[in-house]
Amino acid sequence: MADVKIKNHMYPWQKTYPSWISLLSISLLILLWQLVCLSDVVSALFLPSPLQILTALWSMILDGEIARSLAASLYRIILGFLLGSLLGLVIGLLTGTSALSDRIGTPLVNIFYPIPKIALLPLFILWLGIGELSKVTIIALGVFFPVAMNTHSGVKNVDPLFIKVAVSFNSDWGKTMKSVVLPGALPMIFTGLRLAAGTSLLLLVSAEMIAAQEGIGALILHYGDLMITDRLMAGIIVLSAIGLFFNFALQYMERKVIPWKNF
Amino acid sequence: MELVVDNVCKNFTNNKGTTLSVLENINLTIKKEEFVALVGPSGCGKSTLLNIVAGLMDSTSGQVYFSNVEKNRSPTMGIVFQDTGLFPWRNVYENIAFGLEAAHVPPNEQISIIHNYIELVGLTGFEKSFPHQLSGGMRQRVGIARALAINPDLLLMDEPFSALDAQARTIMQEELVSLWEKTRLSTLYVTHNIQEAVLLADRVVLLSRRPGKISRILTINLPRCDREKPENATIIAKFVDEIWQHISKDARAALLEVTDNG
Repeated sequence: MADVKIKNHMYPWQKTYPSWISLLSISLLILLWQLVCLSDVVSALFLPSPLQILTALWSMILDGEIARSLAASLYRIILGFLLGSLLGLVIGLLTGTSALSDRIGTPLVNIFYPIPKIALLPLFILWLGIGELSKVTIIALGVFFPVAMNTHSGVKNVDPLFIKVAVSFNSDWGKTMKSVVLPGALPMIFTGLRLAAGTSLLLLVSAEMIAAQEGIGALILHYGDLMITDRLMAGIIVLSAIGLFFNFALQYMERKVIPWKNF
Repeated sequence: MELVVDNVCKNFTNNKGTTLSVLENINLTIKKEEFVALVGPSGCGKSTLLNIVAGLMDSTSGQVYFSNVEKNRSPTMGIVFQDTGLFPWRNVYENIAFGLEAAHVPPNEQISIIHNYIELVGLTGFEKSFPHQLSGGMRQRVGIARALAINPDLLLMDEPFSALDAQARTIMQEELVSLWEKTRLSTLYVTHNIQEAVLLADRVVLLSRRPGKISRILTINLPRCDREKPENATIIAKFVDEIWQHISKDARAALLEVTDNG
């Protein structure tokens, strides 16, 4: 006869670790990278060291190269993102609420959605010229689809009970949309926006590599051709920063706009 | 074999750094073949205590153990969860099978055990149904069958009928009485429904709020199957009233509180 103590079986699932571990692991990775480069196992042409890349980045910031490329890229991506998401929001709300627009719009969306958007760039250049408009359009198009589709299913997933409540108070279409359907669909809309952020960055760089004088994509391609690897990598770091910034901005907006959701 | 709750305390620290004492010095023994109901207003920590007993949460101090366990035996627990916790991707049969699979019971032995419990809880004919095709009462029958199927040493039930409507609840309570008489498992039953506790339990343990302490233990010394009889109505009503007098102040305080347990 003995006593058997009850242990917490959930321990492996509930265990937490302090946040500095993430910082430490990233630092160790960079340190390891630096050491590999110092040991001369790989040529700096193929893998420049973190320090070399940072030095290259710094000099590119000082001579204004980064600022010029970044301004061109940000202009395209922000404009394209705003246009595409606005259009996607409107179309998604329409197809989600009106059965007629659903019948008309959804097949069209389904037909055009699977086309890799970058394949349309030559056509857009033909129609809209080699300038900014073709690049902004392709980004807007890439952003449109995930936003429209997620808005559509967000609207469809609004609890019918809430619609009944609104209708029972004689709320008109506009009021119901603004106060019930849109807030109910917001979590899904933000999922769409976050997906779209990734797509927009991809299309930005692709378009700039195909047809642009300025921009981060053009910069990376240019230094790739010249085999100046540290400057190429500096461009990649800027891309990562743009992506991170986008993510943070969307997260911040989500917290502001959906305070009733648990984060 | 008995279950001993020995001086258990539980504090929660919120993200502002303030510590909240939820359970304080809980001492309780559940004897063999005893049905203990834990009653208290919402937020008194009764579900927290059940989770600690179930081994799903750490206590801040104190311990929970089975005493006088035979050598080489590890006691088992069957838990019936409040929202059933049935896997939507498994049908009735497969849901009940889960505990047996986890205990590595050979598949050919599982079949007769599962059919036995399906019959016992009245689910015959629903083996292939998925949880979403069942009513709330039927779903919780599956939950009960899943917990019983592993023949546990201790049965834990966390407000199992709180999601049911009043009629289904009454029926399920009656069924639980006859089911329990057949299995006679040591049971810890958490509820905020006083009537339910008085109808089911051998002992009713009252928990007060903030901090959660055992404020009173009542022994319901009336045979379980006689409690619904009209001649005992006044005795039952007296128990219910006594408990309500004891916890109503706490229950009113609980209503005024902003909930943070989502």
